[in-house]
Amino acid sequence: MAISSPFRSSFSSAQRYWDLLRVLVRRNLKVRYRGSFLGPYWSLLNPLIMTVLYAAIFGRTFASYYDNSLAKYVLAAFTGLIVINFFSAATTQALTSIVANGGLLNKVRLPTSIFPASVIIANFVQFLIGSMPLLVLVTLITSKNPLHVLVLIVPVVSLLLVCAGIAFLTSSLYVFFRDLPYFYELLVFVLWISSPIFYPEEIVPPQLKPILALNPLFPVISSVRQIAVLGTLPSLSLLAGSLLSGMMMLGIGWLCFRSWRSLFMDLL
Amino acid sequence: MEVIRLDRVSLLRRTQEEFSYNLKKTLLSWIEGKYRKPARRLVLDQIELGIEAGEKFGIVGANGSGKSTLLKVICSILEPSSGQVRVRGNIAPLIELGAGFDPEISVADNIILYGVMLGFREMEMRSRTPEILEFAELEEYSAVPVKALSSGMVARLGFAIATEVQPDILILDEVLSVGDESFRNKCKQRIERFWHAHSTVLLVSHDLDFIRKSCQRAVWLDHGKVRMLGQADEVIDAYIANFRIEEDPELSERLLSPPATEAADETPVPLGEGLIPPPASLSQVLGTRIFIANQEKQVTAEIPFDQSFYIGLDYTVTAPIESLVIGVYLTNEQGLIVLEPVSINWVPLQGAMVAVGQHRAYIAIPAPLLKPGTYFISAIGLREIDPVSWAVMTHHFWSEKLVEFRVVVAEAYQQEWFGQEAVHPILHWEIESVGEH
Repeated sequence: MAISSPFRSSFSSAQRYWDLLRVLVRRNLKVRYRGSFLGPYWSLLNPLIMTVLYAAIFGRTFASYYDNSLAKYVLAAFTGLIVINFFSAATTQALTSIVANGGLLNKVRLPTSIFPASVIIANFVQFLIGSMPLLVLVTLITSKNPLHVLVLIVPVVSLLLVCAGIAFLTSSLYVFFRDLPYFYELLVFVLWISSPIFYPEEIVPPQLKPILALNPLFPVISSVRQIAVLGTLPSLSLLAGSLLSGMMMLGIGWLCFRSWRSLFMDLL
Repeated sequence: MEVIRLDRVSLLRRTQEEFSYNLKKTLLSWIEGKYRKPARRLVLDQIELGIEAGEKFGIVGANGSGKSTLLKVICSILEPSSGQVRVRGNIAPLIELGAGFDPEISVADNIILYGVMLGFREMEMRSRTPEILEFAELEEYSAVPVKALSSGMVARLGFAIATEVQPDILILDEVLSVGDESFRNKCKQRIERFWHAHSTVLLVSHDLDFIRKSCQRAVWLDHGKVRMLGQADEVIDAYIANFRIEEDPELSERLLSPPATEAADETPVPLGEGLIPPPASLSQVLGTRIFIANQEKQVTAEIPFDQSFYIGLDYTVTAPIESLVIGVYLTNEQGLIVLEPVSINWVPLQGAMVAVGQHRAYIAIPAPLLKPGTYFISAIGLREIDPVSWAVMTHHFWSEKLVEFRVVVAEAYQQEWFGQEAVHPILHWEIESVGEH
């Protein structure tokens, strides 16, 4: 029996990375959906319940900001929740991903970045299957214009970039500081409250708005909401802003990850 | 042709104990101005090493000497702080089988996952899955999650996948200690195939004899430095000699100097059973009593020549230990060690024997074996050892006649002629006629 070596030079490292990514993403999803018939739609349960809750409590008060339509408030809360839920689940799982695979990294030569990346992508796949069809449907109903669905891609891609950047940053920091999840939970809560999810943007005092603009999720949620709920196209500057904040987060995260990477192995 | 070349390779690593792993503390110490850069330790120190193609090469050294770090540097899992590592050809990592499995997903999925991590293409792994399942004898388990497999099955699976790689350089780190006997043989055959395929093999094992037999050359690492590099048997001999002297001066002294005649010994040795004096230094394991017992496990000082008997040892484990090796010297009147039963040959290092509490060990001595005469248990050793390097971590060693007993001529052997020998097992003779005068 002739066994060929798997490490042929024609097999580039990019191909290996791609294979690893596919296998790890598939594993992540398989573990998640083993024995659950609803599969990725489970992830909609949390935002649905929260939406009902918000609508019941704030619905009447805030409906005036949404053309006096409770339905629009519900949709706005729901889209915001979908985004923040994806963000918080994906980045929280990614946070521990390098450390959790530390044993493996000590045994086989693997690109470290594959672990946070695969967690983010697995969550994104779930988002595309579970939440995205709903967003597309809502967009089609409110705008009756398929072009708007295409525009929806911009904030969704920005969201992915933001998550990936934060995943690289936090998963490397967690190698050094094992009490990070405690602080990160706090940070996610701050982002949650400072994103206009269950309240309309308009109620925020104008002097606080520049601070809220620091929230990288802010432009994402705003543009998703304009496209899907209000049926209008967001301004080009908002779209560009969301894309820019995504790219900046990814840039910062990746730079930190790159410069700290060589120190990881001593602590894993 | 050299396939592995290490040029003055040094590696500094951060010592993990000192690192706080804590954001709160680190921030506070920053604020207080007490923050210090974490200390680093030299784990590999100017290693110079060249390994030729096709060579079987052993690595020995105590725990913490840098063996596994060296392997990681060669596999480029770790990057050296200074110096150069050059590796020609591909390396199969074979470190701790089963480390990469995900217990939640199926065996078939794990084969793909593990294979891709080892460097295979995904498609290639798919086509090889049936072969791997067959070799691991797990054909019926392909859809079962790995957590439902026994540890032996997991080890088999790991080995089967890892050896699907035909690497130029194979690294074996204690792999043969897994699985049952028949599977181990199967593994050995597969490894032999690598052997004959002229693969370069790097071998780390606590089985020094295995290294001696199978490797041409070996390196002995000591505190991150190359202590000795040369022919495998010479390195192993030097390592053992040094190890004994360092770890057990008492024993080495006994081994190096001939046993003194103990005629002048005045204190009488207790008959049948004796207490063991406590050790000079603290030990988590204490021998307390040693005794001789007949087949019914009753203490006695006289054993008939044809009756098997027990050497009994009471010991106490006072604090958790990881492993335990018990050894006893049974000497005759001339001071010759007739038997040296050591538990490692029969019982696992870990397990029930190391649990905290009081234990009684029985060593069964077959009969007929010891010729009639007076015997002593003249040393006992209870040691916690490192399962890999065999370095002694804690021990209670006592070298002094502890118990005396006699083997007496049994009725059935009244006519037996006993000579100058040390032992007298019943030997079978055959006389065949091989031709007439």
